[in-house]
Order: sequence, then C-alpha cells, then structure tokens
Amino acid sequence: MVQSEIAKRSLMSAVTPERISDEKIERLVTSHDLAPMPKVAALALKMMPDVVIHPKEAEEVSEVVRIANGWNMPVTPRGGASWGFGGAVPNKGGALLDMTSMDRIIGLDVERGIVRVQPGVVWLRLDEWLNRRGYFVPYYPSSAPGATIGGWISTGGVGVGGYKYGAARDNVRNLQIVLPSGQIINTAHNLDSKHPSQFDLTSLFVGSEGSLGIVTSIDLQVYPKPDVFFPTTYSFPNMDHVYAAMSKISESRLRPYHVAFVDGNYFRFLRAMGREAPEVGGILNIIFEGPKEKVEEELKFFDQLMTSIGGKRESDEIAQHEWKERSYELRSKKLGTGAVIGEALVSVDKAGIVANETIKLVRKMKMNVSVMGYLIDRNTVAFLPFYLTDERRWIKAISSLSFVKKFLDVANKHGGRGVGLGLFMANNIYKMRDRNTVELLRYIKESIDPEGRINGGKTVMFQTRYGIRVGPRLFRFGMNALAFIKRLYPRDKYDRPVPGGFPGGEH
Amino acid sequence: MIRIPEERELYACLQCGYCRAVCPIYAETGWESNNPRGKLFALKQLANRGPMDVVLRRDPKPGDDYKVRLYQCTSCGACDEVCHVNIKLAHLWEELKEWMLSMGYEPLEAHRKIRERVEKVRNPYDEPIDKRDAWLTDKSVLSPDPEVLFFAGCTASYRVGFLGQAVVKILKAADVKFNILGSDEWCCGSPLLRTGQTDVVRNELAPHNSREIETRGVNAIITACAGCYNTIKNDYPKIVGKPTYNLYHLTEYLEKLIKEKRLVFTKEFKKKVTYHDPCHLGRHARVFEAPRNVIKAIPGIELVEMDYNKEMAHCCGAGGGYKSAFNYSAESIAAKRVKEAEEVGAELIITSCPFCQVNLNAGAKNIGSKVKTIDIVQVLEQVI
Repeated sequence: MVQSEIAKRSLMSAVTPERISDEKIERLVTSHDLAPMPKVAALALKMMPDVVIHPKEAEEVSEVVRIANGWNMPVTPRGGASWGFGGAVPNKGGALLDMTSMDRIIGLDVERGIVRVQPGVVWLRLDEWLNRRGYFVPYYPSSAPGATIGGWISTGGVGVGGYKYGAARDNVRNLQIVLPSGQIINTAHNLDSKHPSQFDLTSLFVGSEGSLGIVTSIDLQVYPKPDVFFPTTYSFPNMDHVYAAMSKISESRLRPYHVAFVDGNYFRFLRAMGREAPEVGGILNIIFEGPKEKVEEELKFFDQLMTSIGGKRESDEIAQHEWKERSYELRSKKLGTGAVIGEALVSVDKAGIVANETIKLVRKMKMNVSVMGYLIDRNTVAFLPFYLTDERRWIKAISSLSFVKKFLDVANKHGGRGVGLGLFMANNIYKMRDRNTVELLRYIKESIDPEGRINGGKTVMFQTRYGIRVGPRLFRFGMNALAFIKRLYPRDKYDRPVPGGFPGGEH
Repeated sequence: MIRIPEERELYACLQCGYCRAVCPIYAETGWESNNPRGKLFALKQLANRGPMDVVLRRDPKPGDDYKVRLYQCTSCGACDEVCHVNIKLAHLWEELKEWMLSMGYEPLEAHRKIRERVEKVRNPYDEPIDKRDAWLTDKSVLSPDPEVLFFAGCTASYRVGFLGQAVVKILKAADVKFNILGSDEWCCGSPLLRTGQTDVVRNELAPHNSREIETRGVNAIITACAGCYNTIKNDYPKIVGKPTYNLYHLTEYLEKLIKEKRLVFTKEFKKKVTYHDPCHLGRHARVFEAPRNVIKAIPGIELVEMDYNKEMAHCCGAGGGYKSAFNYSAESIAAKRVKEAEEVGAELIITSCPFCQVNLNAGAKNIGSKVKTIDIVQVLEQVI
C-alpha cells in the first residue's frame, strides 16, 4: 500500500466519518478555485486532493495536521475558493481542509466592538448577523455573498470600504492559527491587539495565503451601524476624466466610504447581453456613510468637485442599482463563457498611464477587456481588468491567461504590484519584492514549515506535483510563449455581437 | 460522448459560490458536491472532454453518485436568486434530472413510487380516483354556473381535507359561486416535474387537466397549493400553450375579494404571527405580497417578518421530492426555519402550502418548539 493511502486511512480513522470523504466526486469538486484550469494542467499539478475533511474546531485541525505530518501528506486549506490564483487548490494532492465547515459566529464583544468568528463564515452572513445587533462590518470583499472571512484575510483583504476603514490587516485583532507543526497559537493579546509590541504576528499571517498555518478563529473590529448610507454615481465622457476625478478625491480633506469605477466597456458587455446599461465613457461610484450632517457635508463637497471636472450626477435610482451590483461585477462572463480577472495595485497618479498601456496590451492581444477598480487608500488604486474568453477553446483560453502576467508587468513598470500569488502567480513574487526580501519570506516559510506541507509549493515558490520548482525565468518564458500564441489568433469574438463592435481600447 | 443540456450554462458559471451560501442542502451536509456550484463544476468536467481524457482513454460520464447529488435538492430556487451570471438554475436541475433518466438511470425509489401511483390512480398517495372529492361532504355548495373553479390538489383532496373545507367556507362567506373538478381533477404533476419524470406530465396530466378546466368554460381557477399553482402557471403553458383562463393562487383571489369588500372579517385574531414564503409560490411564481396583504387585513393580528423573507426566504426543506427521499434532512431544514420564527417572537407560522405546513410542524416537533404552522385559510375561517 502506498504511503498516501496509509495516510488517508489514518485520517479516516481519526476524523468523524460524516466529516471526511475520499469519494471521487467530492475530491473533484474541491480541486479548483475561480480560475478555469484546463484538464491538461493535471500533467503538472495534482489538483485533486486524496481526501476532503470538514473540521469543526481548531483541535481537530491540529490533529489532522499532526497525522498528515506523520505520513508526509500535503495539507491545503480551502475557504470559499472565490479567488483565482490557486491558493486554495492542491498542487500535490493530499488532504484538503474545507474550512467552510467552521462557520460559527462565536460572539460579539460589545465593549470592544470585536466579533469572534470561525474562518468559514461568509462575509455577507456576518454583516447580516451584525446588522440585527446594530453593528456592521464596513470592509469586505466584493465577493461578500460567497467569500469566507478566513479566505479573504489570507489574501490580504483589500476591498469595499477600505478607503475609509482600511484593509483586513487594519481590522483583524487576533488570529488563532494551527501551525504546520500542529501547535495552536494566538497572534495577539486582548489588551494590545491593536498596538502590538514584539513582532506583529497578526500582520504576518494576514495575507500569507494559508502558507504559514491554518486560521481557525478570527477577531474582527466591527462598528455601530451608520445613521445614513448613501451611494452616488457620476458618469464621465471618458476614463481619463475618471482617473483625474480619483486623483482629486484622494487629494481632498474628506474621506468617503468607498470610491469605485468601471469603464464603458463594462456596460457595452452588459448591453450585448441584452441588459439595460448606460452609454458612458466610465462611471465613478462614491459611497457615503455616517452621521446625517457629515454625509450631507461630504455629498455637497464631492458633488461640486465631480461636476467641476466634467462628471454628471446620475439618479439615485441608478446609484442604488450600481451599489447593489457591487458583488456582481462579472455578470458578462456569460457573454464569452469565461472571464479572467487580473488585480494590481498602482498609485493614484499612475492609474491613467497604467490604464492606457493596458489598452495597448489589449489591442495587441486582440482581446475584449473591461477595467474596474477602487481606491484602497489615499495613494493607491486597486486596478482590476477582466477579459472575456471562451473556455471551450482550450488552447486559446490557456494562451489568454498570459494577459494577466502581461498586465502585471505593465503595473510593475509603473511602480505597482500584483495582488495575489497563490499557485499560478507565485513566480510574480520577484516582481513584487527584491531578491533579498524574497529570500527572507522563503526563510520564514521554511522555518515555520520546513517540509512545506501546509499549502506548500505556492506563494513564495511554484512547485509541480513532482516537487519540481519552476523558476521565474521558465515562468516568464512560458507566459511570453502563450502571449505569442494568443496574438496569432484572430480577434476574440462573442456569440452575440457587442454594440459598437470590438470594444478593446475604446476608453 | 454524452450531450449535456444547457451546456453553455456550465461554462458561464463563474464558480463564485454565491449559490453555495444560500443552498439549504449544503447548509445541512456541508459537502461541496451538494451545492449548485459543485454540481455544475462536476458536470463541466464531463462536458469538457479534454486532451487528458483522450490520452488516458477516459470517457467521462456521470455516475450514480452524481445522480444522487442532483436529487439532493429541494428545488427551492434560492440559487437562481443569487446567481452571478443569471443561470436559470432551478430549471437546469429539472432538465438535468430528466437527462439522467433519459440515459437509463433509475429515479430514486421514493420518486419511482410516486410516478407509479400517479400513473395508476392519478395521485401520489395511492388513493382511489373516485374518492378525490370525498373531502367535500356537502356538494350542494357547488354552483352549476361558477365564477371560479377550485383546483383542490392531491394533498387537500386526500390528506388535509380540512384545508379544502376551509377554502369552501371562505368562498361561501364572500358569496363566490364556485365548482370543482372532482374526480376529473388529476395530480398537477409537480412532484414528477421536480424529479425529472416529465413524460407523464407532458403526455397525460397537463393535457388532461387543461382540457377539463377549459371545457368547464370558467374565466378563473384558484388553487390553494403552492406546488399546483407553480406548475399550472409556469409549466403548463410550455406544455399545452397559453391558457384560456386566469389562474389565481387563493391568496391572490382573496386579496381581490377583500379589496372589493366581498370578503369581510368579523372577528379578531390576536396573535403575533410570521409568514413563511413557500418556495414554489414565492421565488418560483413571484407571489410575495398577496398573502401578506391578506394577513394584514385580519383584525388584531400582528405580522412580523423573519430575517430571511420573500425572495430570500429560507426553504422549509420539503420541496422537489426531497422530503419523500430524505425525510430526516428535510425535517432538520424545517427545524431551522422554525427557529427563525422563534427568534422574531412569532407565536404562529402562517403559510400557504400544505407541504411546508406538514414539514415545518414535523421540524418543530423534533426540536420541541411550541411554534405551530398553519395554513392561511385555517386562520381566515376563524375570522369570517
């Protein structure tokens, strides 16, 4: 009997039978995330786990990790799996911990405004739970209806509301972690969770993409529900105006709750699907919340500011609709049958330049791309282009994946960086950090997890199912080759025509 | 190679998991293969026959394990409501069940029995067809020249006759001339359509019922069963074409009678109640306000909403043949819904579907809850 089979049997005898499965269908459906990976990828990656486990408590996670260690079995934690970099996808099979089973909201500490949750709680559910108690969680991923708290924390957590309330990193007060050794730790002490002395362990684990340990409990800062919550929408004739407007907002003394943009192509895609959508160059959604007087002051100020630079205030009905659609930004996937999203952070003053170079890239690669994004702080824009593809044409679909790398190269060139490494973009770490820092990050990973069993072969390096490391040169060569292949194809088309024809680049 | 219905939809699925978070079966079992996203992903792997399958000479096709997952669904339609890319998921599940059966897979034992009974005696309860109108003891209330036809449905006809009797009382109080189909009424076909056994409905039940209704020459028919209403409203037109009559759910008709002041309530009903939206009446047929407006018109009643209501109402667990095949789990889902009613301080759950009523009461019993579920007509017959 091979070692993995013995390891699996050991786990199956240790975990409650209802919460462990080696059924093929269960292993198959947990072998992916948002990224559409072709079956041929299985040549290099063993994405199907050997066994799927639903833990309920930290102690159980700890036991699973210890058993897996004893048999040298890789362990992959999986949350909502709604990211697209393979962070929640096994690369060497092993045990997959489906953390969505740890979905209890443990309690709200009203005195400290802190809620304690298990990692599998979905963001929207937490917000609904808090709302009923007079609180809200103002920062969350746009994928809040499906994303788990543990998953987003592990990605670093920039999203809705970050402009005013900061990212996950700014709001996580403590994490309970099962280390690769099986030991259970807490990253902070109740009293100094916001202002840690010694090493800031909480920050170390936030954004580590599950590579340093498995999050089993999270303390989050929450806030009393605001008196007023008011979304506005401004339309602009072109995207240059939108980027200029964001610069103005970031320079202003007032700070709205959330500032997000989408380009005109986004609406063209929607029109091609038969949905009603405005014919604009781009729109900017500015959301306000807080006491009534404060919201009125901010609204008056930003209304004047937007109008002065060519923005047209759309109706409250449109603004409400746009706000409701914040979690549905990839509706147009249906148009192409596939959509792949890239994500980079760039400085506000470089947003226009990055956008224009991205358009050139889009033209070169003959693709259909829409750009959206949001301000995450006064200096930084999260830039999220997504392209439509047809997964049924798998060679073309794979070659299209190179767009994400090429787009990140554009962002890097102008001082930006990609968001997310996971499995597929692990080699991009060299674009994000200098070599010495990468060495330090690897040292931290190897110190905590010498055998690389917890989400190993990802984030700080890319390893295949056979343990072979693929370095940045090979990665770059592969991506360039794919981009070359993509350019050989005729322009991407949809099943249904887009009004105005090929939208790439018309910003 | 297999041909999968709605194959394009499989590729359109974003795998965002919004459906996962609202699926009542997933909330019960926690397994990814039980939720809509997982089912679509598994199917896409079958549709997407790639080079690896060729190299390994694999001919991917769904197995019994996939079939069971398809049937682990209450057809509540919550996944439809939140789908990122607007896939008509509730419809897709039914198509897929039908497709599986067309490939030679057997339906689940409980569902097969339902089909056999319906084929034999035109109801899923194996009751004699000539006893279908036995629930109506006083046939003199029937009008030879009716304004409306009351489509009683199998459950009111054979299992909860008191619901039919309550409807009769209310119609009489509003001086509405009505009639019934009696033994000419056959099962509407809902349990068969939801379990993929569509041929009997297409070839026999829908044409028969439509013909019987239309030969009566009435302008309107009413039904008090959410399943019958959804089937006649949404499925029959696809099978037999546009109807010549107007279809009302009882609550819609009562709302109209109240507005016209034909139905007047003379007594109070002093209770704090909540309304449970049956999935087939609410999400599937978009009837949300009528039952609420009828409840609000009752003197003395206090209506409170559960946290999840209308489009986002949680399922009771009984639909789609789930209760008949997975009763324990169905009642567990119902118990969670009862707890939601407890949380908002409701003394009573009012609903408008006999299946929801039965299952919610079973769920309440299992957890020792004092919150009972009754049909809206049972309240109304007390206040007229």
